[in-house]
Amino acid sequence: MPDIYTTEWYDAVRSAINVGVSQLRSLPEGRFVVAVEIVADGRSPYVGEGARRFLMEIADGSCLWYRELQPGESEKAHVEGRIDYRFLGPATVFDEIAAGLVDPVDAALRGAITVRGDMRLLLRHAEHVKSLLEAYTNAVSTTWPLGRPPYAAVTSGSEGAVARA
Amino acid sequence: MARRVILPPEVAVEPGGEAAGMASMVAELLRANLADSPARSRLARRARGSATLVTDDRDLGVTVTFGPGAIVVSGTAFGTGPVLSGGWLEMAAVCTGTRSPLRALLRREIHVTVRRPVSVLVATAFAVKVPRSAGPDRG
Repeated sequence: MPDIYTTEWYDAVRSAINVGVSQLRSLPEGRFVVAVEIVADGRSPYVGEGARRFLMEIADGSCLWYRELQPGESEKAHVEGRIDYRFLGPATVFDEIAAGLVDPVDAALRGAITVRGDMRLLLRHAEHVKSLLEAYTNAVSTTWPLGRPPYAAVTSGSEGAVARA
Repeated sequence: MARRVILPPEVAVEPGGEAAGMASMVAELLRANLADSPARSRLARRARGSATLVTDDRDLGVTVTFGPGAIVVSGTAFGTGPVLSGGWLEMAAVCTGTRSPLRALLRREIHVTVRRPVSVLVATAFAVKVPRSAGPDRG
């Protein structure tokens, strides 16, 4: 079982996504680049400070690649065109999604994760998006070397500030 | 004679509320649809009142209020007007035209609570539905 946020874990997520989408009847055509920004919130031990940033490319529904950016590394080094979708939220929410404690669609609809991009396309392929998110949430057995969520609450209120950013 | 240009009404999100994410999504959907479709803009400019959209499997709703020159999307289902409800996937499919609203109604995948003003329900349903001119996909 891979550790959370390691290369092995992302490879496992990518494989799970591609198995999931292979069972869908309708897939979005074309290529889409997705950026994910997991922001430190003082609770998750996996995002110490700043943010972890990831890029993913989806082509005809399947995940082509998934990579983490180093601090200060430009997205443009990996993406020729624009970023089609951005997902931004506090680390604890992403950790809880990966641990299967939080439903990712609920997190987006309730504003815990901010989603930016073409909503029409996102809604048109809601079933595909659901499949992608289920792979992230349920399909990979994950180990948590620094502790598994849910984490103890803190009183700084930093999480809410990120969620509303 | 030159045809009159219909400018789309402003679409704003009322801040706050637990469904802020859904409100932002609906607002972005409305902005894109109204910008692409003069017929939607015309109807939206004439409509007055509130309609509520509810995803009943998520227990979340937003209220769309049509006023003079502007539409406000609130992150709560406070409206006393008509209600369009259904599961998240079904609502998304109907809005984006991948499923017929009539078929979804007949199959009870979506539900309508008819309240006055009924015209605002028509305006909301039309405004959130993606126009055909937007194309089926982006390749």
